[in-house]
Amino acid sequence: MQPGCLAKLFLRLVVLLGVALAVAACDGHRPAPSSVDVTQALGGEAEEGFERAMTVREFHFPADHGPHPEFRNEWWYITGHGRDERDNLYGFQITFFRIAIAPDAPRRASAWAGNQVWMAHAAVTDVASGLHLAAQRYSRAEPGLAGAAAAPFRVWLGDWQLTGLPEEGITGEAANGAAQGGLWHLSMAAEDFALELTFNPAKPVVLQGDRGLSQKSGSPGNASYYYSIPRLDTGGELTIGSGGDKRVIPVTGMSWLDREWGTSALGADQSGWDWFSLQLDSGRDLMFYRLRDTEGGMHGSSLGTWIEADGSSTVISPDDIRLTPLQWWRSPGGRRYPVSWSLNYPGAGADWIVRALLPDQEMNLAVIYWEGLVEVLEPESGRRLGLGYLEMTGY
Amino acid sequence: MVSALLLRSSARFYGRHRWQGLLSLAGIMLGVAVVIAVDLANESARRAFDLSLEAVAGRTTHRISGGPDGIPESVFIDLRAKLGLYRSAPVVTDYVRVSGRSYTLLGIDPLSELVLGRHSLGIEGDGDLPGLLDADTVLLAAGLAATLEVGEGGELLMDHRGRSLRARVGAVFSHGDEALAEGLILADIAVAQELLERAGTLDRIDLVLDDNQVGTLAEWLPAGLNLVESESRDQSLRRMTDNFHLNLTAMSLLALLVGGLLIHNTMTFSVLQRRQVWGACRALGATGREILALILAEALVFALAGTLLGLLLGIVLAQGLVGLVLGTVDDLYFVLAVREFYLAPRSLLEGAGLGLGITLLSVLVPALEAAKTPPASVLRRSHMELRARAMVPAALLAGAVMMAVGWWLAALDSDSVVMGFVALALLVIGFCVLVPPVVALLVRGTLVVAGTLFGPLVRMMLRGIEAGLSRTGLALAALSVAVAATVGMGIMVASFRTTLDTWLVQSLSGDIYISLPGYTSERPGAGLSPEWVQSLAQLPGIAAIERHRLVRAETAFGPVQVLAVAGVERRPGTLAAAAARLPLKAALPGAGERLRAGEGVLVSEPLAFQRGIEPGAEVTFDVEQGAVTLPVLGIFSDFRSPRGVIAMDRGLYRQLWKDDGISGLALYGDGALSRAELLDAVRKMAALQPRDIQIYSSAGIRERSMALFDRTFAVTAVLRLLTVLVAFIGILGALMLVQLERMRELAVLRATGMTARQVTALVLGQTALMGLMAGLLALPLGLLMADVLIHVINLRAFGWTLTAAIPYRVLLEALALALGAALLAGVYPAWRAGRVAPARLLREE
Repeated sequence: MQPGCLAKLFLRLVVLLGVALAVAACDGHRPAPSSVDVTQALGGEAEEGFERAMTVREFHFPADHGPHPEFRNEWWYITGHGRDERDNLYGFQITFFRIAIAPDAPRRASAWAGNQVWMAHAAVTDVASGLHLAAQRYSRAEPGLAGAAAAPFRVWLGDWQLTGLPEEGITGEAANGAAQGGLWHLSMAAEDFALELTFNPAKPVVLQGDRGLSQKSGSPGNASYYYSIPRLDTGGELTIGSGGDKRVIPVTGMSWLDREWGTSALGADQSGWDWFSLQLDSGRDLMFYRLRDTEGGMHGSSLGTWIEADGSSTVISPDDIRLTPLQWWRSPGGRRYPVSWSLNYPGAGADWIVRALLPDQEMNLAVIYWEGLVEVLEPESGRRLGLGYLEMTGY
Repeated sequence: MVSALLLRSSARFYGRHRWQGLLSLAGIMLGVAVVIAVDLANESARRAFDLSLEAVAGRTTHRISGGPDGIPESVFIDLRAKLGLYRSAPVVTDYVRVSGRSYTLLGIDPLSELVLGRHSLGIEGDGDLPGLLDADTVLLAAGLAATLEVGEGGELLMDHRGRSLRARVGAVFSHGDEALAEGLILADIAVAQELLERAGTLDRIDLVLDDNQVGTLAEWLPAGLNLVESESRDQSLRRMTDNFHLNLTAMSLLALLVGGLLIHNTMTFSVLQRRQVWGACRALGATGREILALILAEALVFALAGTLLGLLLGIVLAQGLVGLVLGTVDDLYFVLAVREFYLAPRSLLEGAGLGLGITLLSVLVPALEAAKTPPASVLRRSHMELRARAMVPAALLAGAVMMAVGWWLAALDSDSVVMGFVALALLVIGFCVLVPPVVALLVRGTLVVAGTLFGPLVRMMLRGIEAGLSRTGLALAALSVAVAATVGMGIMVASFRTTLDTWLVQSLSGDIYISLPGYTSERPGAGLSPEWVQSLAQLPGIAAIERHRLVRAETAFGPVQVLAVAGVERRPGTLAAAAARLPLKAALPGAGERLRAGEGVLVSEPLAFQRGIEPGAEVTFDVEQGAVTLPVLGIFSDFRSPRGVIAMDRGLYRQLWKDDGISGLALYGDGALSRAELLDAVRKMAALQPRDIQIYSSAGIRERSMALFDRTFAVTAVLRLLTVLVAFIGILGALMLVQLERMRELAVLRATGMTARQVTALVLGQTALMGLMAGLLALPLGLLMADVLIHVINLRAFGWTLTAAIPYRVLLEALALALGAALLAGVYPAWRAGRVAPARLLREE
């Protein structure tokens, strides 16, 4: 997930909050995110008073799993896939967004006064049934309605929460010097689906960009601190459906954690992005975000990482990789998303097809985007090389 | 097909009888106007009520409400985090006063509201959006901003229970529905908590729940909190205002009835008047169908013009009425956020339909008759009179039966307000049917019994009345009904007033009453400071003191006010005046003792009536220690809240709700100081308190209550006046026409030796006599109506038992009104009759 998207969410939430709900009306029409002119709406002043990601910093865990409220935006973001006992494939996603609407927390008599608001998105994909369900929650942080803490680890919004379990997680050699903290448990329930999953880091933390500083455009400070845990062993239950049709499905699989915080926005010359997180059967992973310029081409600030099985990583710059849409899917709302891609990364000898396992994985929520389970295929044989998640915004 | 000849005759007729045309028009116009005005005012009030309710409640299925102290905000956090009830919204709200009027300050959490999809508003201007959440920042509805003349960035001064608050107007919002945006002051929940001094507390939590969630929540909910269906709560509120609107509608229908009778009367008259013309036309070859078409076409022209004018006048009248109606709703039921005039298309259509329909219907019978009757008998006027006379026994029977059925219906044991009005309608219509034959019988009886006592002039007057009944009977009935309505409503209002006054005298046993502003509002404030109350009790001249607590509580009966009264604390060594009294209507034996011992409660009469509660029944309160069931020891008469009051001993109240607050005090003097001196001393002490404290002598409260009462009934008075006005114009027209038509007869009288003065006297005397009869007949009907209004409709609609009081002034006024209207109607014809030159009039013969 990229800062531009957050900026849009931020904008919408500010509008919601401030206006007691002007947006309730908008919700009816669900405007395209791209219809919001982010740069114009936010201007420069809105960022004043917030800290910005200017320089490379040192990361400390588990403290950095917790919140960084002095930055405007922050998220905890997990995507993953799992299989039930009959080998049916499922995808899932949970994201907690923290958005500060003012740099400083006010000191006031009412416990409801605060400067943070939260939003959470969740989704599940049932490939065999061709089903994609999504849900959202939003809330102000105070008084204790939503929030995050590093120790003990907890991120919550109402009864949706990601909590640290007392058991130790990844240890020993795999920890690779960066202590990641322990097991995390996700618990969320929406009207027609629920996730009860436990995550156990299987790879060490990977710092994205320049040692964790991820530059989003040419202007300094328009950047974020960004790290991932590319592999989390995952087990638990998915619940799909409601009432009598409810199915509780035990699954095991693999997830990806993204953590990012900053005070940045999309550049004026950027229109959206395509973000890939791919986990290959070979034990290697690839992350790449393609920032699109206004012509739809690759923006110079696009960036990615190639991660070996041992956790060592290489930066992928825009010139190293070629991404070409092959096939499009038109959503009921009229948006066209590329749901099949050709990915060419000679650095690792990669020449793949990345294809959605279900075309319709649009997140039709307050902000509309596409986020879904994809497979990595070898073009000639059609053999599946791995699975991953793709996020596309600004279409 | 109407021939040119017929059309010309019609034009000629109205050319010569302009007055008649104008009066017909006026009759239709006024009838339509009154109905439309009341209907529009009602519709506006209803819409205001619905919108206001929605503005503060929104479309939710349930709400959680708390005890006197509200709901701890942790409950909301648990709802979200533990129960996962996401579709929930916290609300902190209270009334505030700005420039002397009450408004709702609504504190909401915008994101929760977004989840419920309500309160979607548009913001004007480009306010700094995050700034809207800043301390002391409120959002003003566009209408309100205009009224108060503040804009974005301006300062809003509010009074909250005597504390003045200062807020910045962060933005002015509009709403797709302009009316909704009129009277709300909106704030972030944090701001509202701070402004209203409610940190840590919510007033209610609105929820959208499915059936499973209801069960789970009900089980989980901490004691002392109530889960209520929003719908049922709103319904009970709505039912009460519905009754109020029904009352008004009934009154407008009465005006329509009077108007309808008058329209019928004038239209019939205009047809009958031209019997000879129709006869001549028929003789000249016009078909009956042509004549029917002509008459209907004439009526249509009048109906259209009259209805159109009536619509316009009705809209103008409604603008005035709506303020009165909204004021009453405001005073009695609910602080309205919306107070806009609403031009309901339905009301306009209804009014137009009524005007056209009644006019055409009323002309149909005489028109058919004129078309059917053979030319020869049309020419004979006696034909009509004979027919009218032949109908007397049938009319007597029909009228008597209708009134009897009406009376029987009224006496039925039912709690339907509509049924009460049906009974009333039957009584009134039966009476209308009865009036003409009864007048005929009266006249004939008088002539038989005492005919020889009068001179020929009086006998002529009486005979003239009987002879003209076919044309004046309905006008008389209309006058009678209108006068009876003023009698009935006059008596009802007077009875209400007397009952209220008696009740006030009984209940206000103290000398001085002290309360905080907002005493009667839905939520108790912190109350009077106990130390201050203590020091007050030490004031010289005070013999005893009585503490009250008035709070709103959710019960099985919906939201009611709970009045906690402490026994009078006498100062040692002083002789206190009478103790606090709640005038009991019905009670169990030893109710007083048991009440003081905290063994039960008293229920106010409206609540008892609405819920069918009798002494000995049980009431359950959901309080912190669980459900507590208490017996109802008695029913007390109460006029403070149509929504109901439950009274209990303060000890019991404190035990149940753990609330020591004091909302009000009654002070009893020991006689050493005069009331004025005592009042002065108390005022001086109050001046030292940081908050405004309201201090009234019992006489002051009485005065204010009566003023409020009069304001509430201002609508009734206006409607009464309008009805009388309609009747007055109608009777004026009808009598004037009858007398003008008699000009030739009068000329004969002049020719045979009557003096001009005698003729004038004859005309005036006759109309006066008719007026007197209408007035006298109106009195029994008026008394009947009053009885039904007081004992059936008021009781069923509001649960108030009133003691009937018959102010003779009302009766005399009614007689004077009838007589005056009739006399005034006779003036012009009498003047003309006196000046007529017999020779000229007779020459036409």
